[in-house]
Amino acid sequence: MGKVHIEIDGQKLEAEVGSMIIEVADKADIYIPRFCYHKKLSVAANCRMCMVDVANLPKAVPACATPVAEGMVIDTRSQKAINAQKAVMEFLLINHPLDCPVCDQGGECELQDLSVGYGDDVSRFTEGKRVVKDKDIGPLIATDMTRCIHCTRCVRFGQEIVGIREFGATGRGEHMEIGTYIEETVESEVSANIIDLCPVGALTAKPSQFKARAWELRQAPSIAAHDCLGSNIFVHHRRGEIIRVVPRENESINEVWLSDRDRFSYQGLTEGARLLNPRIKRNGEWEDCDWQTALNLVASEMKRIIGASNGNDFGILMGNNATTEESYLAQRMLRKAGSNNIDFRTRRRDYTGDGRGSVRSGMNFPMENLDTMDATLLIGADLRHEQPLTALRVRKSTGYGKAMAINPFDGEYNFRLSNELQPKSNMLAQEFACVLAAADALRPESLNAEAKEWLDGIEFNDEHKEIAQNLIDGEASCILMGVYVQEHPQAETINWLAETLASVTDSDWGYMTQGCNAAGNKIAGAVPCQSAAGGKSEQGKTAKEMLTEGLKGYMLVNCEPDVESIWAEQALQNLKDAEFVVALTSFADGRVPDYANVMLPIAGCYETSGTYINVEGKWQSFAAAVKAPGEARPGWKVLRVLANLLDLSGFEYESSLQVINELREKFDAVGDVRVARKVPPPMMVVNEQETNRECLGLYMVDPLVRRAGALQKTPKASTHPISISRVKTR
Amino acid sequence: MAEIEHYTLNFGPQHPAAHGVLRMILEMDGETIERADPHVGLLHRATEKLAEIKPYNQSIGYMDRLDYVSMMCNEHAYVLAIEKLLGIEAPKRAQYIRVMFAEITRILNHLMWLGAHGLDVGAMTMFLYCFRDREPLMDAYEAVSGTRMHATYYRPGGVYRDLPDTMPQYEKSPWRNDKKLKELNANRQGSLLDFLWDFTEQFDSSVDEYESLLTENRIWKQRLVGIGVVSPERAFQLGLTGPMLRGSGVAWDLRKMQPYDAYAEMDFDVPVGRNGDCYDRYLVRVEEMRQSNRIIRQCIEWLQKNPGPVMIDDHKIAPPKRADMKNDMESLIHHFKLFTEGYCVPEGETYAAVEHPKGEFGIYLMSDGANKPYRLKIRAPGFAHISAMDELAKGHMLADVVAIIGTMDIVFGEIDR
Amino acid sequence: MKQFKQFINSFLLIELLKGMKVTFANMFRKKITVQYPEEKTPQSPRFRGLHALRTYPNGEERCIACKLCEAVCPAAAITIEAGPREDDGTRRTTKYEIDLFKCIFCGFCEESCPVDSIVETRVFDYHFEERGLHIMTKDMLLEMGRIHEDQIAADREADAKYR
Repeated sequence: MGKVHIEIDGQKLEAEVGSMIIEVADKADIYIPRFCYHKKLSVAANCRMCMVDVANLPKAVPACATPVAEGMVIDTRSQKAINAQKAVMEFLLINHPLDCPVCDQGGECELQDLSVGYGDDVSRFTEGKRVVKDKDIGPLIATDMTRCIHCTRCVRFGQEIVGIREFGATGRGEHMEIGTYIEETVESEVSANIIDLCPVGALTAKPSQFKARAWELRQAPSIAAHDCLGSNIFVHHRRGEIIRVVPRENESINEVWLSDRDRFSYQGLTEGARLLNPRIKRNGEWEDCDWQTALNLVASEMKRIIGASNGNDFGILMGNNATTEESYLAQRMLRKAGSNNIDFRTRRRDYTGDGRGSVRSGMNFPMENLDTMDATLLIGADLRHEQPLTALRVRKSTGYGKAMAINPFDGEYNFRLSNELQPKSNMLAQEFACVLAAADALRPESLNAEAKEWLDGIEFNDEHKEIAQNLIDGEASCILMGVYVQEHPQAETINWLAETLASVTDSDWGYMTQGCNAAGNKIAGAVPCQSAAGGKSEQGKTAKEMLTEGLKGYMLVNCEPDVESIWAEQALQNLKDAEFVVALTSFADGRVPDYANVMLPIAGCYETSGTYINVEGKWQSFAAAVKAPGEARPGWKVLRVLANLLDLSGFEYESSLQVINELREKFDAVGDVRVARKVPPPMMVVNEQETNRECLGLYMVDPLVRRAGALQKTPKASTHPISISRVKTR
Repeated sequence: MAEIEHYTLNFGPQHPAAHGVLRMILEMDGETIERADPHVGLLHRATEKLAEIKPYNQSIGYMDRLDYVSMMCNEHAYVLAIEKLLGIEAPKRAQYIRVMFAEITRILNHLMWLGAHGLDVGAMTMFLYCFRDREPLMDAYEAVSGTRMHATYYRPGGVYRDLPDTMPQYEKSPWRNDKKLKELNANRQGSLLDFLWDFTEQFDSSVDEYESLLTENRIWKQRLVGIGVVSPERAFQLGLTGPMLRGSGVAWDLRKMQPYDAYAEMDFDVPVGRNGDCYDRYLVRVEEMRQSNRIIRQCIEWLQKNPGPVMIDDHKIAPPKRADMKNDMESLIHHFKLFTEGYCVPEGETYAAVEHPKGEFGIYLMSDGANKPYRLKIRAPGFAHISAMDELAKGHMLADVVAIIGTMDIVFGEIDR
Repeated sequence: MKQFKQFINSFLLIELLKGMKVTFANMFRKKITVQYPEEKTPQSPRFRGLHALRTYPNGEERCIACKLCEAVCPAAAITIEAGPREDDGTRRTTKYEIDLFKCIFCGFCEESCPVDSIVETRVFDYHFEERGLHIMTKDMLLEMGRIHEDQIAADREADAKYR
């Protein structure tokens, strides 16, 4: 790209050919007022606020839609520019209602800011203002369309970023209205981003409606805890109560967006019935007690069960948003106490990959590369409902690249697929193997003999060949497996296929994981096959074994296996039958009280410090944003004290930082290890019944989300994205 | 013979003559002061630091509470400093109002001082007379601002509201018949300016009364003449200002030297003393009251003839009128933003000083371009004065310390701030 | 001669007698004291006393929980919690408290209020008998508003042209 030289407000700048004035100015920290321009959206130039004065041009021009040219001299504060901005501001305010005092945006409103900064201080308009009827667009977004200034950011967001045209403009001029054409709920899983985009108070967050003003909020950086991306967020809280969660810009993870799930899950903290005191069940009745009593009881029961069974009959199950610190402490405590039964994978059927000693899970390439893939192959991935923001990235790549899918269900995609295969759910590995066979045929020299033997006899058709060809042709291509694959009975086979196909076609590959911290839990050693950072361990019981075969004692750390696990009914029965169940939980509702013997209140998300390791292997630590209510304490503290009470040495941590640093040291000594499978796994034929289970719904993934009121009222909550009926078993 | 050691006396902080919470450690040789060590800080409220955490306008109310007997003068310095940084000037009428109230405040302050000082020295009656004459001025405060003391009336860009056209009246009660009520309300029939005019008419004769009680009184003179003498040179060196400096014969008055607001258009004299003792400072203050009265009269005459705005017409700084705020969008937005965020003051620093009744009261203001001060420093005249305590009191008797404290016109609100 | 005059003046206590004449004359002057509480000194319509929350004539509270008063309060004496009202979903306060120990009666809350809801009344003589009563709750404020509405309305009317 060539460079041109321009001058803005006396500053000499170098700019790329084809960039707009406003982009160059933004880079140089020269502020030009704007409403409709947004760096992630296309240029609309319909608000006309960004008028600047370009030398030798008769009129002021919009900076967002004027490309730079060599020798351009731009003045953003000349009389001409100021007059233009003032005039535009006056027009924008003509139809704006006098709502500031009752408007949630008041105080953080771009219209207010720019009116004070660039507009006139008194109105000349005395006629009547227009009124637009409000729309009900669901439980997440409150609308007040009279306030709309028609910047069309929300429309463009739907159209360009999400790929779902939920919003549009009808009418022209004064009669223009933004709406959903027909009265309906906005359904997309990233819909609430339009709240951030809306420069005025037309679209505001319904769950936090009228609760707080911008100036009352304190901002704490944190990490979202509901999918494996680890989106960066700011938690806005006031007087100890979380008011809202907004995205924190991180170009390599969540860009400037946030999924609705991450944004509104905080509601669960106040809407779920919080457990405020340690509780012990005595004669079937729950009694509040102090920490000392509860922890002593837990310690003695643990000692008894572990001692009596040589460690076999006690197990720990970690929840989906357990922090790495909690997992590390839990596994260290359990292993020191003499048991290896710890797992977090309550939704995994295939454990044959255990014991290979790999110290990572997820993707071996940076997430942002998804934006620029020439070919992306999705295997059993329902990105929109598992990692909504990844779907946005894949969508971005489909502008020029190809996206393909082998999904055993009618997936909902917000991008166009060039190839789509829909095998039966139990035939997913077989179908995928056909693609590998096709690739092998296209590039015969790259597979080893064992693999060739494995592939022997697998036939492929043109579609498979096309998919393989696309992967080979793409300069950058990737194979991305969804959460569904990890739950599949042939997960290891599919993983091997993906890995092998990737090497044949020179692609990147990776898999999405359940929960927000699968990688962290694994690195922390919360798996039965290995201890922290891939350290040696005797094989303990897996989550499946623990839940289906039953144990005498369970410890649940923020985990509700009766909802979350695949074997929910069996799990519930086994938990009820167990001698002793201790639940470290934030909530006193649900079915935990039915089967637990002791409930220990631990801090929920945003109330504890910790670290999440995302699917790319990024370690992201965060501090607590607010204090946990009542007697609830951060999980890592509870586990640390429990370890002390079990008379275990080496648990003198004073902060979660010490815990994570210890793990980090161990991890750095080993490095990011993936041990490739040398021998292909056997090609099993699995029973249809085995795969015929529903995935965890979009808003069902962890205890917090399940209690978030507004999310549960959305249409997406009532239908599981991949439900029994939609998983193909034909 | 046993050696006689100095006796250390703790004076205050709860002493009626300590004018608030002054605590002094006096080293006495018999009844003679060898050393006076004033301790400050008992009324510290961190005004300077508090101002750093709130938008500019929100600190105006705290300025009232610095020197709490000359409220509007403190506000005056503060708003002048902000105006200087903003580069704005209040409308003429607002300037006159501010000058008028600054002078009313001066009279209020001096009356308070005279009464209290008289009481300290032994003249009980003065206290009653002075407070009697403060009353109409307090009423004037209340008429414009709604409070008798902590007015919060001056604003950057002018004053909050124009002077009222009517004065509140005494109401009927079982204690007064119609005739007496009419008498009471006689001076309240017109506007605030008429009311004040009536006050200025008789104030000079009130001052005459005070003088006939005190000026020639032998006890008064015995207690004041030759006590706490400061030479003009020392006065400069000690940083004394106001009547403390003028009492020593230096004609230094900021109203004349660097006139602010409408002072340049005022005709008044600057009284100076000759000997620099407590008595001269008393005379200076009494004369200042007469001069203030003159200024007030000039202001009233001007204000009666010249109606107009009392606030700048820039709603980026001054909130719009209430009626506008309820009817037009721009005004509402500006109202909203001004009352939540306030206005941003350009980067820079400035020092604005006024001739406060007690001396040079200055506000040193630093802005980093935000909506709240980066740093605010208050130059309180009393602080410099009390620093001179040791020098003034040395060699005098214990009883003279009271006279010296009185003559310094110490108010701990500003010293400790 | 001058010295002689001074001596005579001093000897005859002239200046003291002059002073006494003043005090004596004052005995016959009109009294300026009032018989509080039956009789009160005049109060300006701008008077800033105890707070009140006003209501519209139909009984609907004026306050819309915009929180401008809370934001502008220099002493942070006002505490507001807000949310949609149960029955009609409008923006209302669920809690509106003024801590009278913190309040400095600067009148900014009244100045900032876009709906003339929070006002300062003429009431200045009040006391607390129990701990905690210095915090005026929303109910107390509304009650104040109801009791003094006529006076409040008249005062705002009188002062409207200056604001």
